[in-house]
Amino acid sequence: MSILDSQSAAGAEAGAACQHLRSKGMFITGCQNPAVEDGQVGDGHCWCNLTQHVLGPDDDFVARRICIAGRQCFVATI
Amino acid sequence: MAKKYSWPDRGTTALLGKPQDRIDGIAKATGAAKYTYDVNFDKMLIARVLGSPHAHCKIKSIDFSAAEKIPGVVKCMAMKEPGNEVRWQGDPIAAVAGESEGAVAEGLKAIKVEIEPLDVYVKDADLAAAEAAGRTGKVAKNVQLEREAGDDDDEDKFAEQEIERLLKESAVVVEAHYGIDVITHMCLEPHGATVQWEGDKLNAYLSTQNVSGTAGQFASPLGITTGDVTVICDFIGGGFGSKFQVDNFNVTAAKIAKEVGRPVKLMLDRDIELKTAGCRPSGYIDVRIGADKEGVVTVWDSQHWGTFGATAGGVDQGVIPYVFNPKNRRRRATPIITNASPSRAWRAPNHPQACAMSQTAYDDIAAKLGLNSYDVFLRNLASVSNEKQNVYQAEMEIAAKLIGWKDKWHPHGKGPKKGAVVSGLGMAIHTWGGGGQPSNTNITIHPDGAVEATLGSQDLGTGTRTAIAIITAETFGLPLAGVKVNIGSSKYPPSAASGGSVTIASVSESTRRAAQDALLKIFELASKKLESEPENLEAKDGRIQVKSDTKKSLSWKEACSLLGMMPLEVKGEFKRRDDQGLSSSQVGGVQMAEVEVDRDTGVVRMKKFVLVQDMGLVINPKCAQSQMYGAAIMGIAYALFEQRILDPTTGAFLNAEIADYKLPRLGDVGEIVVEIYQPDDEYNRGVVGLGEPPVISPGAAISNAVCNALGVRVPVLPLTPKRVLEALERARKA
Repeated sequence: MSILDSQSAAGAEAGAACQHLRSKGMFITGCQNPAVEDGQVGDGHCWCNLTQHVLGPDDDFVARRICIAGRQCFVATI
Repeated sequence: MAKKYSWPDRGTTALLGKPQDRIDGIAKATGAAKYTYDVNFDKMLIARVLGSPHAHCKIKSIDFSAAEKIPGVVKCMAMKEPGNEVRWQGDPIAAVAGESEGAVAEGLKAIKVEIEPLDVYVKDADLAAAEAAGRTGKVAKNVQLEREAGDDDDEDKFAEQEIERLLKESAVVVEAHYGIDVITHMCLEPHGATVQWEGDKLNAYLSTQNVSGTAGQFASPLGITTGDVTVICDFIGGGFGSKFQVDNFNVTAAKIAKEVGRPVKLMLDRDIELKTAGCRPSGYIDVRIGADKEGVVTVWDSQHWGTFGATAGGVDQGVIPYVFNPKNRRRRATPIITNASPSRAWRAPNHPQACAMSQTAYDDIAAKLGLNSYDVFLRNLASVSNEKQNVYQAEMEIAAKLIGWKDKWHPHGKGPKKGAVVSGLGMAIHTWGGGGQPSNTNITIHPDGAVEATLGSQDLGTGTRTAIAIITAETFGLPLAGVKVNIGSSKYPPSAASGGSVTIASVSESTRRAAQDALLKIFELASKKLESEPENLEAKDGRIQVKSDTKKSLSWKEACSLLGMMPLEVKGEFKRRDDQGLSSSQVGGVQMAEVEVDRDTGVVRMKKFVLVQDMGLVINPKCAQSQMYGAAIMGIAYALFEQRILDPTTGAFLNAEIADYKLPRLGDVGEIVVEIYQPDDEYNRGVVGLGEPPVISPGAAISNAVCNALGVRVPVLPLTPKRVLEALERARKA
């Protein structure tokens, strides 16, 4: 899934997120995979905990729905 | 543990709910308060980043050879590699550390970067152009109708027919376009950190609104453990949602510091700060809205779009139309990707845009029907999404009195004229959550009576430090000066990040819990001396006394001496959904604006701005009012002045300096009146956050006031003189 389409599916449908995915909402709710329905917590801005940037180690974008199994740099959450 | 955590009854408090000066006010006013920018160490290097001058390119090579020869340059470090793509102007490519600002500036200039230019797209306001450029994502759609489609109906076709029928049956239909441009966070203190290694342990003095959540963000990219990182932030010069993360340039500073064995301070320059460290998404909408003859909206049909910049996203469709939920509504949202910096959460993500894109439409219904906007908003309260009709109604009445709505309001465009100057009134309403999040507070009571409250929270300038002191002192019956508050270190008990208006509820919960539990232990010790049961004691006026016989008492110090040699430490913990009535969530809020508009120059001048806000129990009204004043000024800023201007061809951020990025001066904001709405039921529901709510409505309220003055809608914020004149010209030609 490209970054352009990454907003079109619910997070839960995408599968488990990479353990290095971060978003503001995670720090507000204390959750690894915050619900996306809230719309208040600012989950739209995601970053990678390895690069501290909106681009991951593979130089592609970070987002809840694309930082999932199958991506080269994906690391499963334990 | 206390049987039940609770706040003192209203009217019985010494400090709580009464206006208090900030305990750090003098330190801030005198410059004694040390912000990240003020932290200096011996042998410290200054570092800066080179931001990409190109909005979209591929890096071919980075050559430091000339930069490294500049006297005073100590270290150059790449932040991109050959082959990496740069997606927006200002994205850091490299960092230079040196002995002085001058050496670093020369070093940055001497870096040679070879690039391959790529196509640039930045026109987020133009949906058709974005579609043609292949820059749009999938359209998200949400339809809710009173009538349900039959089993054999095509749902999209049914919705189309139903909406057309409802619009046709409406007494009035408004078909319009509204919008709100991208703005930046413009933190007075830019993003950055001063970092210092002690062996393999890192001390990071970071400008952050997330003290407890950032140590791990340094640890992962540096390959160390979170326990080896200490993040410190005693004071912060603005965050507004943009300072939750450790940025890659913070990590680069730590890498340089480790490599050269010296502390490093890396703060962003203003232009890089604006280009890369946070902006608010744009929002533009085409809408058809139908209402009955009383102005009650019956059907809403909209398509909106906007950009998160280089990452996908836009204003959430769930908040359109804003606060009001008409029974029939269809919302479609399209994300646009541009070569501009990615947005970050900006005070009340989604809400200011949603308010500006939809409550303007409600006002246009009033204008088209020739009705008073106040009445139309009032009649539509039955559809509010948060069941706060009564709160909104009460707040509207208060706001109307404060601004003189009844006397000053006139039909749109039909008010008195003073030459070219016309005046008008507008209003808007908003909502927000703001409940408490996990937080821990340690209360330490020393045998000499000293009290400390310690937690890994931060004070964004909202008065958090003072609120913690008030709660602790109130619980122990002490003066404010009798409590020391320790916040701003990741080594303190974890507390919530400051975002989403959660801080005050979070720290209030954990602090009050810890203080009540600690007081119970002091009561248990004192009860033996006072020959009374612990539950019959109270802490008041610096004494522990028997409620029924206050002559039987111990001074606070005498009571604490009963601890013996060692201090008492009690932890207060709040977890989500562990509610006991100390905090709550969901607020309303009403704002009204009075403006004057010069039809010759297009200049909008604020005359008066009224904010009425509920927020549950108010710990410190003085800081709450201060927060509302700040929100009003920030709201006026984005309504009338702030605007990120990108070159449509190159994507260059043309006004990325304070001198060019227009903000209001004191003379621009007019009279601001703030009113806290706190009847007993608000006090009794506990604490709710205030950071977001009052900054939501200004855009819509001011736009509505301008429309009321002119009789013409200026559709897109900010309402610059150019846009006002263009709207008048369009109206004249029509």
